[in-house]
Amino acid sequence: MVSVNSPNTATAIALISGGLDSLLATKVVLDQGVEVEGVNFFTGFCVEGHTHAIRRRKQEKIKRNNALWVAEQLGIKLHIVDIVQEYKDIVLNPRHGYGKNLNPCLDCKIFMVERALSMVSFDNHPFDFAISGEVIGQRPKSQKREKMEIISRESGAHDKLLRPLSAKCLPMTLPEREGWVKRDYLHDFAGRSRKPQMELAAQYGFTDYAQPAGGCCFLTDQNYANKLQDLWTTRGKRDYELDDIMLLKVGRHLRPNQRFKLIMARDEGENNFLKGYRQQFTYLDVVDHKGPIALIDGAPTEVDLQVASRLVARYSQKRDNPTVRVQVRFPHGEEREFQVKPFASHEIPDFWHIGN
Amino acid sequence: MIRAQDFAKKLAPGTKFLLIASDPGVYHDIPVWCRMHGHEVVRTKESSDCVIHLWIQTAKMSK
Repeated sequence: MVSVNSPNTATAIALISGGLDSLLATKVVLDQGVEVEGVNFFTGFCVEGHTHAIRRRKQEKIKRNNALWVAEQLGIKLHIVDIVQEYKDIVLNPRHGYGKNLNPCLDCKIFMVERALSMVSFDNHPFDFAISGEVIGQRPKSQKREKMEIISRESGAHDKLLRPLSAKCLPMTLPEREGWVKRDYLHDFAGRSRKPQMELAAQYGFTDYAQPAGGCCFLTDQNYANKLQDLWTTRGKRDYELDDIMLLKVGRHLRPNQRFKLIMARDEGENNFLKGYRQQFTYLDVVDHKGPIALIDGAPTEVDLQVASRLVARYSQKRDNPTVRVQVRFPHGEEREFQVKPFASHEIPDFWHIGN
Repeated sequence: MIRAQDFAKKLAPGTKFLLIASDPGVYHDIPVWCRMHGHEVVRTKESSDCVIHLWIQTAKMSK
């Protein structure tokens, strides 16, 4: 067969999560002389975005954006693409359903591959193929062999989707047939073990890479999924805005009744993060002492404000005082002060805690 | 990061703009992004309320 593109003239777009697999998959293709650009999609549910948003200033090691870091290690340019709005339909109406929690992994991957291949390079050229760090059997549901076929087919990528880490276990793809990459230099990783990836990383000299313990998406997290489900239930509709899903990542969420929910910071980082929402939510802060900042989501009554203040007082430094002063600021600017008796531990029913 | 990236795309080469952020991660991420695309962090300043100002000059030539 005569190749349309001679070797080393092909361009590829690599899905970069910031983890080890996408780092290695891209490196394998780069080493064959293919010009590669990366893409990282911001869904609003990314763990990466979360760690960025609320990292604590006093941490010794500042959290980095791992996708950016990976791209720099590889010497490639990275497109960071906001897909929050488009992604809603994936989360709310997944054609292939959810995984263990509210994670629409299969639909998500199909969407991302399709979106990546529809993009153009920084020089405005279409990409010849896409690179994914998927490994057969690495994840129990979304990375099975048959699911990979579905992703290739339903994304419209078909043989334009190369998975360099498992390619030898999969049918030949376009870049292999065209000679842009040599199958011999691809890999046959399969299964849940991370050992082959770690060995390959060592061969390449990668020693510092992200090792996410719970995946890269909050939708796989049961506590998070419970909070999202609670949001849909109490609002009476399955929908969300970016601020909703960002706030579900932060703080203790307590729902004393259907009228309101309290979002209460657990540390200084979360306090700083919640301060950013002062203009949008009713905002509670302990007067004169250290305590958590809290937001009220909903429409509380006068009694509800007392309950919310007692909860904030409970988690303040002065929880053992007979009374604590709590300032309540409303979004329209009005301020009120409540002097309340902090709740005792046993007075807070377990079912008030959402997701934890 | 996304806002900075999308804003910079609309600017002429060599244009300076001010990025205001509260996330200290910008000290790491913005220089990486600038190196990647040929932009330059010209100056940084952090105010007492932890608001970070970064003056960025876009790449003079498309890189």
